[in-house]
Amino acid sequence: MRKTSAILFACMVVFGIVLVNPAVAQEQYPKDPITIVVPYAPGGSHDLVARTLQPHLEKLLGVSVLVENKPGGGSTIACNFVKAAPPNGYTLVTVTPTLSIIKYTLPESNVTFDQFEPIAYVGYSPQGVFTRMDAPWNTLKELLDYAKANPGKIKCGNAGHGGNFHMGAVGIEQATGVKFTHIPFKGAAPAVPAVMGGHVDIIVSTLADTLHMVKGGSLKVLGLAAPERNKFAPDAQTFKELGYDIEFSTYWSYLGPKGMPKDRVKILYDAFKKSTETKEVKEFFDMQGAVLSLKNPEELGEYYKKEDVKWGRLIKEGGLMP
Amino acid sequence: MDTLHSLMLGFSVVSTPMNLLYCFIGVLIGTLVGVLPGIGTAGSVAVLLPFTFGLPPVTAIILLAGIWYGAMYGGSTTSILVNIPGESSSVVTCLDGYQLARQGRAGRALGISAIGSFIAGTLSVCLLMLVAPVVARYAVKIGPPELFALILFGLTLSAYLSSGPMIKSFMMVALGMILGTQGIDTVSGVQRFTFNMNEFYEGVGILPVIMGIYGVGEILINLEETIKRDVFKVSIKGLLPDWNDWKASFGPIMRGTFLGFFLGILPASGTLIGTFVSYIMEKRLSKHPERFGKGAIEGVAGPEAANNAASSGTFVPLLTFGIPTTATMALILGALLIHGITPGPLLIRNHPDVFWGVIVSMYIGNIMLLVLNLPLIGIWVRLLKVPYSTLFPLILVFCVIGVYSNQNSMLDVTSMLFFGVIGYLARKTGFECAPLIFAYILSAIWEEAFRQSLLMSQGDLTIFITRPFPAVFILLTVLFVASSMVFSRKRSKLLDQIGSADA
Repeated sequence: MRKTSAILFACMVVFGIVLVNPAVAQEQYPKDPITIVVPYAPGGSHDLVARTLQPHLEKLLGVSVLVENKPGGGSTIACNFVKAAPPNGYTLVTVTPTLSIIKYTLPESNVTFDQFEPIAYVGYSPQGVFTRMDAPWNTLKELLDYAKANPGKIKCGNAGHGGNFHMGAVGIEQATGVKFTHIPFKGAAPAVPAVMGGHVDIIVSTLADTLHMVKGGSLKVLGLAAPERNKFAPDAQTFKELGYDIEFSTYWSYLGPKGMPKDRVKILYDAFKKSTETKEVKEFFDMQGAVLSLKNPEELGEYYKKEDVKWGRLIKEGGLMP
Repeated sequence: MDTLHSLMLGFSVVSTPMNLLYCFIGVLIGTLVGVLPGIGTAGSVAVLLPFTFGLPPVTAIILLAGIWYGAMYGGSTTSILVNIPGESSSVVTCLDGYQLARQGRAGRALGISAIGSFIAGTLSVCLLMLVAPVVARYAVKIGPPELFALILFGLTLSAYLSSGPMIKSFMMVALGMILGTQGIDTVSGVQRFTFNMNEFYEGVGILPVIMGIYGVGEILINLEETIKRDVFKVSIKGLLPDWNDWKASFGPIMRGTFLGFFLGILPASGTLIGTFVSYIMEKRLSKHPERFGKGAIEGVAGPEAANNAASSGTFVPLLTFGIPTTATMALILGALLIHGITPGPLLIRNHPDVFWGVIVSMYIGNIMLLVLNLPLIGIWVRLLKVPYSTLFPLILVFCVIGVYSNQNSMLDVTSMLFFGVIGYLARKTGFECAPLIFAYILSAIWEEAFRQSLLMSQGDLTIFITRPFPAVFILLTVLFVASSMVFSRKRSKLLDQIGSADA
């Protein structure tokens, strides 16, 4: 009796798998709400970009898209949360270069890019060097010349030790041979009044965070670590023009848990791509001084491998490993 | 004349039915957000943000700003009624507001807080309009060394937050300072007290601490006390403050307004610090400091005025430089940018309709809030008649929802419960929590400012006395400590004499 029921059970399980499995593969996607986890508090650029894309994604995907803020832990909480979510395309995370940096600076956070499935990279905003309006330097070259003649004299504000902007400043030091005195602040916002009030000489930040202040006449941008000049700050020299081949940015990319079905990745990528082609999103990126530039999942995967090498070298050379 | 002309422009912008309606919706949502413990403004504004993309820019900002300053009105309600702050900026209101409620004067406390908020709100909008550009230019001169000296002075005053024994108060200050250091250190990247948990990389948040100590702690203590509820029912009549309340509150409201507004302008200050400083100042200035903590109406009026004024103050760095000093301001900045409006020195010239429209909407919104809140007082007071056994589980539910929804983090809920137990134990043993919270907020900024200053000066400590502003505040601190030492020696000598005379 027991044997028959065991066999019966086994049959049911096998049938169950056989019957259910194709159903899973062909299951219509998406049919449930999709959550985009933002690792930062409301109001940051990753939050705003996700919320700008949200209505367009909803229209294209035909389901609701929720933007959920899970701030804290220097983005590791959100990353660990999404990493552990079922890889079914219903939980995504939007990340910054921090994802590549913390692998080296915070190994115990246990977050690395290869735990994620790349979906889409929608654009970036270049990092640059900003100063107060009445600062003695008007171009990047003037600043670097001064910095070279006076090592350690320039006080450079950043948004926290080991963060993206601090690393950008270290990258500038390594490429140009200058030496800054780094002064970390708790986030990008308090560093700005510090540079306006002359408590620090320059800050490293992104154009997205500061363009409105440059346009509004309360900060000037000296240079950008970008591949080319930015149309919103056309006077800012790039490091490349001066012969230093460095690029630092904040970008908006979207990842899912590792092991997502390829067809779902494609559906999501197409939706992101089409969203960025809308007038509203284009205008929003313009407003932010950000560059719309798409990378598909394969390109994004390759990009992360290159980023990993770049940050690994920078952090080791800078002696910033814990 | 110019200002008058601009104000007329503002009125013409706001007085369309649609803008008035959105202003009303904004302050109504704000009041609700304020009343519900733990539900924060930033979260609510974030949810509404995509909805505002389709609105004209002025309307969008009027709505979002309404939520921000409206929450300051509502925040005091639960502080006074059940000793649980509705917004973190209403923590200080608990100290005396709840005592007033226990004495059957809840209506008066609510009334003073609504009217004080109205006066502060309106005056601070005037300040915002008149002095914003000038003040903002000086505010950025407040750098790390200035901040350090300012906070040093503030911390020496923190003992005044407590009405109990000094030594216990200092122990709570120390505990608060330790709590403030938790997380990854901004300056060096080193982890402190994180127990290797990602959730603690940025420290335990302010909300779980406050909601735990005041919300959960209060519920726990009430579970064992069989409070005579008729205490609350005694005199629900006399809802509005009488002449004596007015006389006592007018000065605190005016001082709170100016203090809150100017502290609100400073980077890293927000709306919370002004309330603490206002409370301390009123207690120091009062002829009867012993009444504080036992139901002094000034202890409600000053801080409530301060948090409303601070909510206008935080607009100064935003509108004049585009610097958001709080999460809500960051969202409002986002809303401005999405509509193609660049805040900064050129805002008033380029978009006068937006600037003056928002300013005028804040006048009107404050009137709406007063009209909305005064009749509500009666309803709120009646809420106290709801049996404890029904009321407190509900409050606990709101605390949990509020704390969870803030960061979508379960650990925050656990932290809140943990601090609830701490708050309970503290109450049982006669420790007061206000100094802990004050120190917790300030010490993180303080330590950072200290180390940033030393980085700026290459390790030279004289940076604190060679700059005029820090020098003045450090001198004040020294004088203050010295004077209280002299006085306490005199007093103990006096007590000795009395003692020996008795013998």
